[in-house]
Amino acid sequence: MPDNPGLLGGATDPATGAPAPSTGVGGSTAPVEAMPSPESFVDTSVAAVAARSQGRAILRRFLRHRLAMASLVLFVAILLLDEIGSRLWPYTYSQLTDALNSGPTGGHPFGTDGVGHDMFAQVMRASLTSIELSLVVAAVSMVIGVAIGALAGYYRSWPEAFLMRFTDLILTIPILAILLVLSRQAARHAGSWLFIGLIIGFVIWTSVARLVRGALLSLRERDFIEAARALGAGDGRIILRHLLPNAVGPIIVNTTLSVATAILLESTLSFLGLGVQPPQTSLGLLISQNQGAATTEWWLFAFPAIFLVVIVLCVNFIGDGLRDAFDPRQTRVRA
Amino acid sequence: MDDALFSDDAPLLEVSDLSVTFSSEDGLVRAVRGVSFTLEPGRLLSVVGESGSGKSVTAMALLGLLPRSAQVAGSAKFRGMELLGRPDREMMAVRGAEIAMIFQDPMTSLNPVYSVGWQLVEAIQAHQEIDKDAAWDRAVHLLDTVGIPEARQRAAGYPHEFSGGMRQRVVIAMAMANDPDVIIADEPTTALDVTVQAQVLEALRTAQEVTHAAIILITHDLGVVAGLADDVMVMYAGKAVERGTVEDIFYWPRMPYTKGLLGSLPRLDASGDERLRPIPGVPPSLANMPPGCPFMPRCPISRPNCAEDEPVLRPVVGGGHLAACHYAEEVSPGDELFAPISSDAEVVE
Repeated sequence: MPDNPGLLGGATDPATGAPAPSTGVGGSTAPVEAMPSPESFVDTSVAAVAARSQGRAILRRFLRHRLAMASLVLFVAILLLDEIGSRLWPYTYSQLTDALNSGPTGGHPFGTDGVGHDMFAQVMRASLTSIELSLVVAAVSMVIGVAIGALAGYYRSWPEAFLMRFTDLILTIPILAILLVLSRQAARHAGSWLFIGLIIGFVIWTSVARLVRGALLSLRERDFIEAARALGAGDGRIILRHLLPNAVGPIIVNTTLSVATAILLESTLSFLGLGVQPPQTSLGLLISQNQGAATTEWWLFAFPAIFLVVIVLCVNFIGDGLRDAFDPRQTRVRA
Repeated sequence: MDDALFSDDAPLLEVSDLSVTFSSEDGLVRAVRGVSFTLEPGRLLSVVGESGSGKSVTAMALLGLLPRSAQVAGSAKFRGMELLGRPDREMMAVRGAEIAMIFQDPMTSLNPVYSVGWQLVEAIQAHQEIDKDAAWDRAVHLLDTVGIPEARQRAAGYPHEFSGGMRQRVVIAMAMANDPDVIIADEPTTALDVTVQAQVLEALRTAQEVTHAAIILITHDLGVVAGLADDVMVMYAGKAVERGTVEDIFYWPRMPYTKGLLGSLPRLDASGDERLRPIPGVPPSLANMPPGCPFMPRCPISRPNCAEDEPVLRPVVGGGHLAACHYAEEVSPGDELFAPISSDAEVVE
């Protein structure tokens, strides 16, 4: 959007841009309004340009949400540590060092495991894998769930019957059974987090779909939808611009929850030997491998677990901030 | 819109024998049973009647907004173009651009997650090729026109930051956005405080002056009708029972029901101890309607033949004044047809 010329351009445009009937209204007084005293001109134009952009208003509300911003900073810091830190660190995640079963020391701040893996390198690698995987899961499950839920909730009748029975079908099959069958196919792509992420995403969209359908069933009967239709809005516009923005809250909350679910599901798969395969590693894999050592060699279990908790919390708080940012009625600033 | 579809000499809006039927568990509900009227450019037609008399259903039928289960028959021509049964895709070009609608409850008819300016811009851009900044300026101008103070700042506000009366003005501004030829206002003041009703009606009047649109004002507030309307159509049980200019209806109502409606209002020019004269009884159920005049059970001047043939809307005393009553000529302005309300207070005295 052009920033400063907004008002000047706007004042002259109705005469040329709008068809005949509107010039009488749009053209007559707009130039008068657009030319107040010089300083108020600057003030109102900047304020108006900033305020009229829906996206900027959302960004501004998000930036004011302190907990979400702190979480975002921490989340990015973890990502950077994983990406850059692992290159600078003297050990790689698959390298075997001479120190065996060493507790946290200066050289190995997170200790080492029984075969000499440096845990710091492993945790960095593992959290990167888990973050990437869970973001893929969140994106896939959100896109599929929102699409199916929105179509079912808006169109009702046979599309709803078909889509929701299909959703029920996916729900009734034990999730682990689907994962096991699908990830057998993954043997070829062994250890590919992308493939595993896609598989998990294709399985856990059902809750988003049911949630979105439920939200739309109630929203579609609201007066402002009828009003939008009376103004000439079509189905696509009503779904994308009027219904879904009003359902953003439940969608985001559910998606952030699915991030945590994805990390845990992946660890289950890894535990069964069908997820991420060693020497590749993930937080779920590290935790399931080392949970027996929680009381004896605590560093093997504690550090991956702390990273897992911090990442999941960050994602949830960021989601919280996003939800508040999308809701204009939410005006109080969170601590 | 394809201009070839319109013809210039056709009436702006011509509704003939419009009927709407819903199927329900109790059988067919005939919500609208043959309504006809013509709307002329720049006029304000007021549709009056009790709840359930088919006022809103008539309006929704014109815009094709009824659920698919509704069976709509008859004809509604906008500038000669038939509206009923038109595919949704073509109706989208009519809605908002040619015929706009204002809904009853301003608290719920704006989208809560968008600023009012954004919603106006969307309404404008839905029918006009106009860039965003120009649309925004027009939105601000529209808000200014309907009396929103500091419109440029307020345009960035969200619906929850506006009072009910202000929101209804925003809704009116949205209806004006594309210079429609017809604005249908469905009880625009019913959900509002009496104190802000006048301001909203003023905004509606401004909307009419600016867009030169004809307005269909659906209401059950006869005070509003007397102040604004050019023509009045009284509906009862899905039918128009009386039609005429506002003077015809208010000075010499010809249908006992209209007379009852007017008599049930408090009057400033009456002496203080005069009681209101309500219409006894309730409107008939629209499912399984008995034959005859639907108002017959409540009517003080009904005679046996009223139970058999339903009166049609016919001219009385020449001119454009129509009434659906066998005995319309016997209704005179002086007589009171209905008994005054009795009260316990009177008994105690």
